Amino acid sequence: MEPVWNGMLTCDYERSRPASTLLEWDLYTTSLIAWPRVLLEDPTPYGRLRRPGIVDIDEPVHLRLVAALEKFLSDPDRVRDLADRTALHREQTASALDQAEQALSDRDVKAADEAIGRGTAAFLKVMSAHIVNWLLPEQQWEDLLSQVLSSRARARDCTLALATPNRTGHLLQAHRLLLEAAASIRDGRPLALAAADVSARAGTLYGAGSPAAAAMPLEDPDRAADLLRTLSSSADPESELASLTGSLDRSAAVREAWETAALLAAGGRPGQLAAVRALSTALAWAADSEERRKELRHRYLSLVRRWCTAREHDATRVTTPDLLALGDGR
Amino acid sequence: MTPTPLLPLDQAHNAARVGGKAAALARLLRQGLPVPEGLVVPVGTPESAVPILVDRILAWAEGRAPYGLIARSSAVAEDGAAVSFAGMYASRFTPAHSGPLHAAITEVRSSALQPTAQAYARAHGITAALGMAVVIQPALRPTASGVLAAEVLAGRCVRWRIEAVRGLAEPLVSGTQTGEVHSGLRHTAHPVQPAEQRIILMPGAPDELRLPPGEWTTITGVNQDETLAKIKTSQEGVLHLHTPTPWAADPVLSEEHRLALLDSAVVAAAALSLERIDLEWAFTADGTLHLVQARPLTRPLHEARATGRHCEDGWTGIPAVAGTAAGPAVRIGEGTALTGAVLICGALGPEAAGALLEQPAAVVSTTGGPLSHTAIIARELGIPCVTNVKAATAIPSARLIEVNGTEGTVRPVAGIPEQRTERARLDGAAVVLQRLPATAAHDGRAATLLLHSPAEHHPVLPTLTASAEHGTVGVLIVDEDVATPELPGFQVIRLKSLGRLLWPVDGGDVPETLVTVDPNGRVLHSRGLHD
Repeated sequence: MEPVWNGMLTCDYERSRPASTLLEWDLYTTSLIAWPRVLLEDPTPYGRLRRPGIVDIDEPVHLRLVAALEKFLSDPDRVRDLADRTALHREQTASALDQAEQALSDRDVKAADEAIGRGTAAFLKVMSAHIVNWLLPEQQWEDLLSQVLSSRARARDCTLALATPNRTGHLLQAHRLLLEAAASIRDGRPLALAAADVSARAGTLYGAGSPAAAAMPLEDPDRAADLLRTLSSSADPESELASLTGSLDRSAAVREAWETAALLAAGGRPGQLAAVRALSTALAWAADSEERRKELRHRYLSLVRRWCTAREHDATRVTTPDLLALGDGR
Repeated sequence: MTPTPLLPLDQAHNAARVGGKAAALARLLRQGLPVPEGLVVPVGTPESAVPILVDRILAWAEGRAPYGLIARSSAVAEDGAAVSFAGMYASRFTPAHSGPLHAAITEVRSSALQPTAQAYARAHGITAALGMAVVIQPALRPTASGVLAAEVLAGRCVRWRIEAVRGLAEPLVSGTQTGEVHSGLRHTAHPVQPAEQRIILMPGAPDELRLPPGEWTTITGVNQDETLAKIKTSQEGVLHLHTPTPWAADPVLSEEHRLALLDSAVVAAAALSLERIDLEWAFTADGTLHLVQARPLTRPLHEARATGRHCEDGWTGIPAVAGTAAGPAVRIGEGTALTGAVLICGALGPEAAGALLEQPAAVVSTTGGPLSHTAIIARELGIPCVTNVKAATAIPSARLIEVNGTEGTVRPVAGIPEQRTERARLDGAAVVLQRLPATAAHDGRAATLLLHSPAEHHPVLPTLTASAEHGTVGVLIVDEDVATPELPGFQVIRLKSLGRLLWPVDGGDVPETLVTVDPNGRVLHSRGLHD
């Protein structure tokens, strides 16, 4: 976000994501403009599109909506509801992508079109949940926890620990898949099967950039097989898996310990207690949104690219309106 | 009525009327040095005369100022041999229009009354009123600018330091950006330290200043190379531009530029009869060097503190994972073991997960925030982390650094401090948890209290078996509106300011202190039962 200029703020993905396709910019700008509707059920658009990749937001609108978001995120019931809705949007996206994948495999063009349309509509809501990470009232949360825990440093440690996702983040999740596949090969599973599985489940995540215009390296099962062959013969995937699991258990325990500390400290003051419960849920929701969105985004972009190939469209020119028009997603 | 004088800069001889800066620039002009032309509003000009002067300045500026004007302070005491008043007074860019120009002149004149300037004057024994003239010049649009400090002996710079940035020098002088540093002693030039400059400031033409953030404008580099730069914002006649990516790794100044600057320093020092000189300078797109300020260097060069932030100060970023750790800086792909080292990285992909499982001491990322993927993986692995340390690219590999993930700081250290773990003393305290661990802790606690959560239906209420393994186990209910669960063999104790406690009837006295601990046994919070 650029600073206020003539009463207006500008969100410039053209600068922050210069290598993006039109679809990638579209996903960001459309979901940015729509976040008040998706999160707060407020129909006010968060700004207007200047051109692909750039959104201008009037400062009074920004201030009003950010204040509304802060108030919304201080209510534990509403935050839990938001987390549930976000999980539902993720499930809807994943389900539509599964169906589109199957339809592409079956060469059922009509079913693929319809599923991609639905997947686009659902995924835009997932993106809206992710996109406001930078609008979260982190300073206000830190101030509150400083008061509750009587220490700014402890408040910061607590805030950071609470921003641990409920489910393993995508980087370690992808690595765990790889280690499990390598371990399964040592247990006798055929390499080709393990490689196909890794390629399908995590292939879009490995490599630089995004799969919007070109495939990521491990989308190719042969490349995944090469990696697994090396990993299963030279490393010790079992002990690495054990170490990874230990670390994840520990980080979850640290998160729970800090949450308990904040609740114990706020106990006896109902307002503070509710606010602590709300921010604890909101921080986990934000971390989960970041991680799960990344997995879905790469999967979605890869699928749309392959759909473009099948339909003889240019993957670098396709837009969200094009894809929403395919289904009932509008 | 005699018209109020408005002096051409080259006739600004009398420092008592035109101030130290104008007088020095006039002397350089008379020696043929490349000082931009200008006018001086003398000391003591009545406020009532300013509107007339503004009209005359604007007539003079016609055709001279495509990027507007700059109004610069020139106080009588400024730029002296003993005191410089550097940074004490205002300079203002202004469009060549009467209202803004009048406001800029007024602002510069009134900066003489700023408390910091007055305190500085008093500290240096200056008690007289601080007379203030104003130098008006066409705003330059520099390709590069900066400062030069030099000691001159026998017609040669024997010790020098040049700091340079692209565009205007203001962020360099104010210390918000790190300039490219050239320094040397006699015939030896030291290695150049690169600049850290993400934003370039430049005076804008009127049509550029009307463009919103995100639009592009054409700028010229020091080598007369033109490129497009994105506008971050614009204010007070100055464009703030994102440094074009192709320029980020290029040097700001060539050796030719450096030699031209050193030559000018020698001539300027002679013109001002100085042995130690402090110059502000600018190159414009046609390659012309302009001297915009010259004054005595008031401290020996080796004591002069560099502008901008430098390695020795450490770096700041965004706190991402709590904890402090130190180790040698390493990067993935260098072939160095990561265990116990500090990993310097950008945004991490899943390829890096294996490396992070080698247990580096800490992670420093050049990008991202507390919810970035890099922060999250470091958090999941319990590795202290600071993100968004843009300058981390300049940290040399193998350099020992300490990372404070709570404060968001990274600093060089001479050795690796001993890690201390604050083991808790739990004797007599009740430890509050959300669930009973698989194995009982033997840390001297008097009891364990399970925190009842209305939403998650925690805890699994204690059983006789649990109590047998874990010692005395109770339930703490801090929410007022939650019904008290029925639990045979437990009594309800109402706490003064914390809610209710389900406590075994045969549990004896309730501990007076409640604590929470992390997996290392460090106490995170402690409170009295009746606080």
